Amino acid sequence: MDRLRLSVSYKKCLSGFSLIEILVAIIIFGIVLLPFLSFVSHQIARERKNKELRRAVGLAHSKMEEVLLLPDIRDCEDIIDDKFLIKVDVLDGDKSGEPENLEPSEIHISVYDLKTKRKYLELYSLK
Amino acid sequence: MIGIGKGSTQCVNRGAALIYVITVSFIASIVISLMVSRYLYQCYSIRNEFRAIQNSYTAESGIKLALHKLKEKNFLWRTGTLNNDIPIIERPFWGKDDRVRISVVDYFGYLKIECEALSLPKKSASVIIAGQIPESLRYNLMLASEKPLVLDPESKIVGRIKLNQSPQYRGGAINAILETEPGLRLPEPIVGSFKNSIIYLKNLLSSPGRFSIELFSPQVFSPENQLPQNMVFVNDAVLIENKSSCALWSTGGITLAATAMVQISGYTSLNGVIIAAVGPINVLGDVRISNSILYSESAIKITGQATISGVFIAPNIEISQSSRLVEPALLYAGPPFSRGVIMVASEEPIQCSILNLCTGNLIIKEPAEVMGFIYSRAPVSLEGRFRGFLYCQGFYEPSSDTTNTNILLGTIEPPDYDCSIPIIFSEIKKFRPLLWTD
Repeated sequence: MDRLRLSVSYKKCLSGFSLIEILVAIIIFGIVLLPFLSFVSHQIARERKNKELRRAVGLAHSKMEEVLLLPDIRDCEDIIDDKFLIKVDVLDGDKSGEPENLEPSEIHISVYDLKTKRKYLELYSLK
Repeated sequence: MIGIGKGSTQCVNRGAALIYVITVSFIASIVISLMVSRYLYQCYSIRNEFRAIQNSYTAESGIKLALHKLKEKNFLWRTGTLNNDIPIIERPFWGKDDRVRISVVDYFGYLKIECEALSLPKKSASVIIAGQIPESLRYNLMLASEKPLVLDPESKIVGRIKLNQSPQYRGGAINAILETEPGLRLPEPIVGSFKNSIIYLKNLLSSPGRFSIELFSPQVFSPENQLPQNMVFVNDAVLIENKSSCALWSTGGITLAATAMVQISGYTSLNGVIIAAVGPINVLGDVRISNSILYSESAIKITGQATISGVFIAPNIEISQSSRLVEPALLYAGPPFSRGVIMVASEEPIQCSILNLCTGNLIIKEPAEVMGFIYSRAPVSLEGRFRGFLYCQGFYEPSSDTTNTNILLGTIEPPDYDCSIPIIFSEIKKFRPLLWTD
């Protein structure tokens, strides 16, 4: 009797999935996977931005070191890797709103995204 | 999905759907949380890195601002003393909120500027400012003696010298611009900075309550038993030793006071420490000490192959064997001490300033070669070679019974580098940073 029952349930197991079962499974997987995949792709994009931000920090830092070593410095711009725009701004009163005769002079280094003109960061120091 | 069915008895896989869903959700949530935490960590570390860089510049800018204020106020501005400092808080940048704490104090004849950015992560910078010898005092030898200078056959003077009368030749040579001024007196040094700084050290030795750790037996500090990174008061002798030649044992921010002797030996390497002792301080072996203050109320003896920079204050100071002093280094024997001897007898070149305001003698023994600046109120025995600026009230022969002979035995030449000196003359108008630390 036991052997017969086992044989019946084994046969039912091998009988496969119905179309409904497969559709339901696909829908459930879709519901779970779609936001998951969109989250992952969004996350990858955010990490790429972080990478760019880290590079921008490095660029601003090295630019500041370079500028601080120069005996004389004026406002200038620099494009790096066709991606970053670095602006060196010396607060010497040459632009409207800037203080005049600031001593010691003040240097601001700003790093922008070249395409979107979005500002990544700004580093400042006295010369 | 596979296990969806009416009864769990129909198949061993039936009813496992929930487990699969939970497992998949669990794995997905782990992946999501890992990605989110990784992203948040990245954001935090980038922000932290950026803030650390900006705060370093803020601290450095504080120093530049302090230097600017000092120039405006003719280098007479201080925020306090080592004992009682009230730092100021400034916003160094136009239109920005970053703040910096600035402290300007006299520091053993030099000027110390310390700045700390007040936003997190905290970053600080400090600089020691020294003076440069003004043109009016730029004499390789300034001798204010009532007796004429006697030149020994082995002696030689090169450069620019100022005496109160013409020298007497027993040989020797003067290849220098010679100025004579009857009744010549040495410029009076300003020693207030030393007095204030020494009061700070004396206070340390007399007030163990100011220390975070007080110990009551002889102490041995080594790489295995490191000096605590703060203030330690030992009511006994101290041995600081590193026997391993490969281990670099560098410490900083340590203040050690001892009521008996202190010995530093082996391959010990110390940086930025303050050691004050009632007993003698002996430095032996292959010791490296940089940017430190050693203060003893009895004597400092540096021997072996030590390489040292910093300020050394004691009534008696001896530098011998193959020990070296490198700039910035200052040997000071003066008030509150009244009598003592400074002796330099090293085989290696010594680069330092020596300020001897005691009545004890200053001895530079052959083959010592001293470079820098010497100011001595007591007679000087110069057998070795000196390159720099020497102001004294007479020379003497060590073999003679008297110090009243005014005999020069060694060589005086201009320095081959622009040496800096403590800020001890009001005539000093040029200053330069000696040592930056971040």
